[in-house]
Amino acid sequence: MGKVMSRLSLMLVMSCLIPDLSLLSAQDKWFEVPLSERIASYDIDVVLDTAAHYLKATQTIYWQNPSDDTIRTIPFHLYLNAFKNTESTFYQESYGSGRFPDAAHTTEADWGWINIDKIKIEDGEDISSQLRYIHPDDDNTKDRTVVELVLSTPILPRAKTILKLNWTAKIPKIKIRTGYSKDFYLQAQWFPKIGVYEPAGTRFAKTGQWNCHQYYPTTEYYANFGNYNVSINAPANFMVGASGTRTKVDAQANGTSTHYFHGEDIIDFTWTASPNFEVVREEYSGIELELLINSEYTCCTDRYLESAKYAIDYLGEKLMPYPFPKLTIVVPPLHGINAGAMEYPTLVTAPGMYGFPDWLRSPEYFVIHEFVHQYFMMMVATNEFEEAWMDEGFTSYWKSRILDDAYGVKNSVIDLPWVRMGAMEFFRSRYVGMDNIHLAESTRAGWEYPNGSPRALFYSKPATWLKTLEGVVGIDKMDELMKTYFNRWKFKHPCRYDFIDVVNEVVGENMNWFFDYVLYGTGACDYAVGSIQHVEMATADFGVWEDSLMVKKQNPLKKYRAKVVLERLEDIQLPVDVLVHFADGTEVWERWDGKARTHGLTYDTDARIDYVEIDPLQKIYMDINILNNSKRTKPDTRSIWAYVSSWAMRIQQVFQGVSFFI
Amino acid sequence: MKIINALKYGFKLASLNVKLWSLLYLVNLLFAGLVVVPILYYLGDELALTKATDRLIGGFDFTLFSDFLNQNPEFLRLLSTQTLVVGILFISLYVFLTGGILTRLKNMETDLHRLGNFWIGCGKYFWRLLRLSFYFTLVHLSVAGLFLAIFSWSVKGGLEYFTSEAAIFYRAKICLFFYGFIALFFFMVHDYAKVLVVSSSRRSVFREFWGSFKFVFKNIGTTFGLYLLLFGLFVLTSILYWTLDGIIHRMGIPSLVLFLTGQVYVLLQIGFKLVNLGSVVKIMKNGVNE
Repeated sequence: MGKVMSRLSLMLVMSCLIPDLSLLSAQDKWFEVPLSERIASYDIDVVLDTAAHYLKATQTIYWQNPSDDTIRTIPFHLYLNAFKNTESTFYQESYGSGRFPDAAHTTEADWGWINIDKIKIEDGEDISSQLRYIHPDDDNTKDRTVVELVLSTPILPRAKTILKLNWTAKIPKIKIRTGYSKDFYLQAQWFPKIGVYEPAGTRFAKTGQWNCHQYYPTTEYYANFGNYNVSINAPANFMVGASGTRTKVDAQANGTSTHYFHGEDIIDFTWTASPNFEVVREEYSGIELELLINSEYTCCTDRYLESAKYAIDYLGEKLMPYPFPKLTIVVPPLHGINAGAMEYPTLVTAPGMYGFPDWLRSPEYFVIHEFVHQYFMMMVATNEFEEAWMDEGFTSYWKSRILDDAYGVKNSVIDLPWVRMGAMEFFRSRYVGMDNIHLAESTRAGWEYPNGSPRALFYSKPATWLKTLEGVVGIDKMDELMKTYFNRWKFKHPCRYDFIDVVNEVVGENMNWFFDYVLYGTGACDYAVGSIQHVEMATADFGVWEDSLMVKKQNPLKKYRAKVVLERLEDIQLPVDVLVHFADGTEVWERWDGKARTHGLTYDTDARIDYVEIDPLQKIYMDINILNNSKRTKPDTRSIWAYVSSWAMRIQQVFQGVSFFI
Repeated sequence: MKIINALKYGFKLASLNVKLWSLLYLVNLLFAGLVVVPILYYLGDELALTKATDRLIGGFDFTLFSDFLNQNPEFLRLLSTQTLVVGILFISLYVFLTGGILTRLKNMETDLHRLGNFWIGCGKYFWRLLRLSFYFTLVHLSVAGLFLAIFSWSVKGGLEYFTSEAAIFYRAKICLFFYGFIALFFFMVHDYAKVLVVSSSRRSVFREFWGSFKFVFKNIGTTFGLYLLLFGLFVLTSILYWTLDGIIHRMGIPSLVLFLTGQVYVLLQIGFKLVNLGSVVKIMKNGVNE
């Protein structure tokens, strides 16, 4: 009894110590009613040493046991240790990607690490000796990206606890996502972050379990929501941007400034610092847009901001208005480009370059992509390690919709007069152009794929089959099911079952068969018009009166029996529309369930078939070959001639241009 | 004044040589056809029965293109090899024709209506002009290598060293500008050397190679001024054409219009070549007379 009472009193003390948002001024507080459960919150005070590229920090973690289980260990991500040496799983998976030079060609400045110097529960003794490195995903005993704290006193069900840490980190040179490049700093995955405790029934968990994966080059996110109060001390001439809103800046006597940031209901915190940022701020739909851009890229300022506004409006209408008061867009310098094209809570990075051409919509492409991540994975917080497709696939699908809507279906990414490319067709081409389209199902965890994680399986394939799902159920149903899924699972942690359930519910029929193909299966989809044959039919003769005599005449009208054979060349079976066009202009629309390997159509008509086309509206977007989807009965090369004539003309011009100089 | 007179003379010679103009155009068309026609038959075989080609009506279609390449991965290799081989043949033929063109332009005043000497000139000077082109190619490669080395030295350390990307671009622009200037100068000297070769009966071309340098340097204001003026006109015409081409593409005007506009541009390119060579002939005549 006494033990229970002491635990209860400990819990009461603990709950009093959870960060009190009322201490924030009213204007700094984001939400009156929390949007999430706020399981893990952080207060961090960090000092950036730009001379040695070190971070020195004190950190307080406020964590609540979300389960009825007693917790005896707590794992933490220590992701900067991915850059500690060549032994990390991250390095070994990245080797050969070009981003990591051979160990012989690296210097001390290239490497990075993080070390927990002290860890205490509340104001207790330092228990850092109870930390031990673990490697939950592989047998790499040298990996140091996950550390586990063995608790002497377990955390009781639903209890809150406070952990206080002192830690030091050496910032690596930017190889990917995080680090420094000259005087540019992008600090992502930079602090000890607690794993996610999944109570029984959460996602795939049958019993309560920690979910805390090692760091990988292609997957990095799964975290609880919480509040963040972070102070960053940096040289006074550095502009600092971060997740969350800036609450104040204090100038220090030693020539530094301390920047205070606050964020609510976010799953992570990332910051950047550089003396070379130009800062552009705008208010849009109640959101403060902050662009931190290298001063040489300011010609593209509008491109970054306008594309963000377009995405804010689009997703605001289709899913939910962006709830956070701030969006920071960081454009790293070219020498730090490996920090570009990343998403963090309320902060995105988009690569830039001096003299970026207008016809290549890279700024728009990345801003929109990373902004969509604010919804898929920052709000609908799926587990990127285990189900990367739910994060990158959804984002790629919505990104393509937004880009194609804003700039045109055929030219939203590349827009030159003679070469152009839309976003959705780009993703489709990445999928259908895979070396081995049957490589693996999309449901594997990131580290379980052969030869590293094939990005096409996370990005392009899901984007393509989501577009196909849109074609199968219709755009209105697609919008409805996406909105339902988003609003049901925002600020929670769904898995694929939850999405499939929503699809089945909204569509009103069991669509599991679809997911069996596209998600769990490795098959492809390819329908083809196999053959079109005509047989001239005998027509009855008829009689006419000529000079009072009945004369037998041959019927001048020909009748044809036309036979069409449709083929399914790959495994995936989807219902398809078929258009049969006759020479007299009549058209017949057919619907084929697409199940059999072949399917025959027969017509007795007066006119021959001109052409047959499967899926003329390209609803089945994942069909891997549009060339065999249709067949004419007579060859027609007019459009080929017209197009190739433009090639001929270019070749003439090149030849003649060269001849000018010979 | 010398420049204007030479230019007028060049235009006059070009305008009087409609047959030559037509011949060069036909050669150009023929060689482009040599690249394109086999490709056309290849595409016809692969795509004539699919309706997917209707997507080309609006111009380039990425989905069609990528699916076609997925199904026919050898296509780009075939296209590039064929273009390269035909391109080399075209250049060789153009060297051959240059002998004839210069013979005709040189003897225009006395030999206006006869094309016979044209073909004699083609055969007579082919090997000499080919050697000359080879030497000038070496000169160009050396100049390009030199400027590349200068650029590499000027941006040593790259992004690790430079705080400004604009500074690197600026150096690239400066190097490109001077390289362009020097390259143009050697292209011009090459033209004068060609005229000297056609005026000489020697088999070796070294004397003409050096003689052209001497002549150009001696008359640098006139020669380079004329060349820059012509080049400027050519660039202006090209800018106008490419702007028009872009407008036609964007407005979705039928490809026949695009093709015909392109043919006008090719004819203008040929015209510029004739005007250039005619002007050089005039300058050299005046120079020799002086």
